[in-house]
Amino acid sequence: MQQRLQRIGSNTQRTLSHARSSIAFRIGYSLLVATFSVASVLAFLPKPKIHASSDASTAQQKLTDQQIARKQYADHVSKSYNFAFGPGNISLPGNGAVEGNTFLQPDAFPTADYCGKCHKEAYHQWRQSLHSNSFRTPFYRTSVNILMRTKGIEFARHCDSCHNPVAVLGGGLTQASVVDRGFDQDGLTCMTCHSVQQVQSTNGNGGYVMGVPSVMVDEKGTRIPGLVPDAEILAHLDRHSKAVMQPLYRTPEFCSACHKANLPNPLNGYKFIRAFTAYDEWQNSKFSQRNPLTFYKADFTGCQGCHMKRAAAVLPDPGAKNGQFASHRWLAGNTAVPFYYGFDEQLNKTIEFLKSGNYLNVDLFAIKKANDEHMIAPLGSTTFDLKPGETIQVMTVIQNKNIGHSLIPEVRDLYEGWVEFSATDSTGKEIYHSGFIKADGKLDERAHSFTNRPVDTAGEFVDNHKVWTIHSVAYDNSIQAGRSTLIRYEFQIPANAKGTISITAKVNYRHLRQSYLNNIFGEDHPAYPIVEIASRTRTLNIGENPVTKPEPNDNADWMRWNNLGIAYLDQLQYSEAIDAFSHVVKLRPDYADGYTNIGLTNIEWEKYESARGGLEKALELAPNNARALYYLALVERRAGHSDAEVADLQKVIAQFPQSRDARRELGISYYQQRKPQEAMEQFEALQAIDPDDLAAHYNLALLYRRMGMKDKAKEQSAMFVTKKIDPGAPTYSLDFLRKHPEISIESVPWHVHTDRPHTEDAVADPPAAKVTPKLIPGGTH
Amino acid sequence: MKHLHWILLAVTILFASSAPCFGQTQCPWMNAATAGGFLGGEVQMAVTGFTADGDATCQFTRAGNMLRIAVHTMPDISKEFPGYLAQCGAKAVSLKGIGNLAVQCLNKGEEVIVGRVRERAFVITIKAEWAGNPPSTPTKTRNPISDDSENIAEQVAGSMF
Repeated sequence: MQQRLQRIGSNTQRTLSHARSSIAFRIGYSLLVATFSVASVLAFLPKPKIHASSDASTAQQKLTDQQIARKQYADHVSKSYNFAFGPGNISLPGNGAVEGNTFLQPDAFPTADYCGKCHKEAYHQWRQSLHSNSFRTPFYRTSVNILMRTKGIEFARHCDSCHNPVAVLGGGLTQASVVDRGFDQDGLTCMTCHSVQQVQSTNGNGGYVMGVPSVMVDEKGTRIPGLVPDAEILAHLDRHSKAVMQPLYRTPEFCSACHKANLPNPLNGYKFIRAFTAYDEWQNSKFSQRNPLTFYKADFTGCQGCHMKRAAAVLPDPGAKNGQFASHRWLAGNTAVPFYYGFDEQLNKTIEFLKSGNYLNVDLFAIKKANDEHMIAPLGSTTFDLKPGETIQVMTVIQNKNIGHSLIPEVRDLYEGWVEFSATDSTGKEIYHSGFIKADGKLDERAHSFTNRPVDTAGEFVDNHKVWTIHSVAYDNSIQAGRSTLIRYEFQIPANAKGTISITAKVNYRHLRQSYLNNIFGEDHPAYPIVEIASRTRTLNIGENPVTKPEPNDNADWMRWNNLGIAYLDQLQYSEAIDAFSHVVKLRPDYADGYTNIGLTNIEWEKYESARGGLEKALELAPNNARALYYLALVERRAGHSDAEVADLQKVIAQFPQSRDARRELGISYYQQRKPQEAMEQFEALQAIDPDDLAAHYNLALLYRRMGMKDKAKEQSAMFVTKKIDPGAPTYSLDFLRKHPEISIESVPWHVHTDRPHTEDAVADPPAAKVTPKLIPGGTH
Repeated sequence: MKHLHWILLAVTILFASSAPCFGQTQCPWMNAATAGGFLGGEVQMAVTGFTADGDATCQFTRAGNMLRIAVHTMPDISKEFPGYLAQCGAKAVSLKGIGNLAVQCLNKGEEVIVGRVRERAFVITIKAEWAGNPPSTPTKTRNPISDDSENIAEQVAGSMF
């Protein structure tokens, strides 16, 4: 046989030299190669694909087979793979990693159909979820196609490390790819998540370590690659479970692998820019119980607690416990994908999710009349008069009450959350309206929107999610978890107004911004859903207004004042914040955090000694209160009481070992006390919590150098340099704001939304009626 | 005989690596490996009829089996689009998740998808021929007619976004 093959080879070589260009030769040659290919493949695949693997020898054989097949596959892919970001590096500019550190065959991942045979409920939910559609949707393809066309497909590894890990790890993202992309339509299939073995760190960008997919382990716990018969799984459910479930999957760190992203230098050719980080936002929220500095407290709730809630399983699924199954819909804000695909069940559940949960509180908190500093507050709890013709400012407080991350999270340049405020008279006639949808489907530019504005070097808004061109962010008006924002709406009550005026503030959400939808589909697409997440209406009488009964979702008055104080604090209005917090302690003298808030505001105001009283009062009410201790430590530092400062921070860390703020400050305290070893320990602990903390990079660079650890010092120094914000970048933001006066005021912490003509409009196009421009500190729009 | 598979592999690599370059042009919407997924293994690819609009016809063959995907962009949407829809007639099935809109029908033995991505209206014609019976296993070897033509159309339209 061997000789025969050699003869064939020899004859073929001779033919080659005589007839290279003939068509007959081409056909013959192709047939020969095909024959050998088939023969060699068959020679390597003598066994059926699914077979029992209960005994150790079979398991070992499957492992060996997989390793051989993988090596062959990896060698094949490597030949034409564009290792643009370093030899052997398969996923940069993404962080996706795989055990064995080489390409993994896409067909090593059992398909969702395979899993769905038994896990019917999971399959049904997953099919409509964002995870299963993470790659195929036009909302994603439009952006990533631009990246591929302008920079090259290899750069898409950054996005696809999360959106299509099978493609990245399989080596599909290269020019002249040799990978069958039949898996694209399954996006994050079951066995992508259920094969992750660990997360590298909480750096994100696909910071997982994928194992070779396995649906069974053997008696010794060794993962068996490939498929096994259903009967085998049913006979050893414990071993199936061990292969596909890990305690890691129930942690927020698991989600951080992809729900945290940065734009690294290999992608943008510039420097590290933080893109989004729902994970860090959660970690800083009350739901993590890792941060002592939150304004409010709550029970521990991880990502899965909100986005994978257990509910009664409708279809059979062995993964259900007592008939309850952890949702594989991952309900959140995305209404666009189910709307596009016609997944009505997913769409309705998403809307239901957004409207449920008491996530936000909308508080029409106060009224201020023009030329009167007195604040009528809190509305509903105080009496007042209104007269026709008066100009009033409605102070609306929006509290991010129970979201474990910011409002709005993640891709803020595409998502659209805003406040729609309206005032109507007793006949229903509109007096003032902000945050309406225009005829072209776009949002009123002057709406208060919980968005940001990334800009490029030309000072232009980075449209179409071309994230690799982002150099700065003009502003970011998202509300972090547990915090509040104050929005001021000013309008004039008509001179002939009678009866009542109804004011309403709604928080609306649209996935996605209309201009992005236009970029994807052109302008003739159907209107995408707008969901009202929360709202509050009050009826104001022209004349006397009595005290009214609160509505069920209203916060108690002390909390309303507290939220106002938080909003003032974030808008740098310290005097007003202290006044608001003073109302809190008046209403709740037992509330230690109220005093701490006064102390915190004084610290922000750099009135350290004034801060001491509030903090000490808080500690009197709640001895060992970590939040008060933390801020008191900062006061002690300022007073030169170094030992007290360290003692306070140590007490904080004893209660909250994962407090990044306390670790950072204690590191600084030790550094100042010339205790390099102790300082290093704190900064290293901080880095384990937040690998991007700039203070940790900077101080560790210094400390390592002093300790003679030059390589580590160099590494930290380099990370500090790349992660530090480019001091020149704000000029791009200023360029953008100069070009867009209609929204530039949104970058000012304190601003007023009004029906009064914008001063610039008045100059450019004087209206017929006489308008007296009103100078409002912070600006108007 | 013990080392037969290694010898076969070595000879295959030798021949394949010294092979003259036939038809290096790539199909704009689908690589040969993905087409191979439909036809059940490695395929030969021929791409013809490239136009400035990005149209082309990609033909994949494997052991007597053939998959041909042709994309035609309509230069005049208002004139051509209704015509193509009319050709589909009442048998047209509306497809979700392909472009801005898409309909599918069978016309003269070919699967036809008429659709649009933004301002680009297109017709995708998919034809498959099998030397024997079309494969029916749903995993590696997929039948490109019906459901799979929808998948192919999704791949094509997805690349147009």
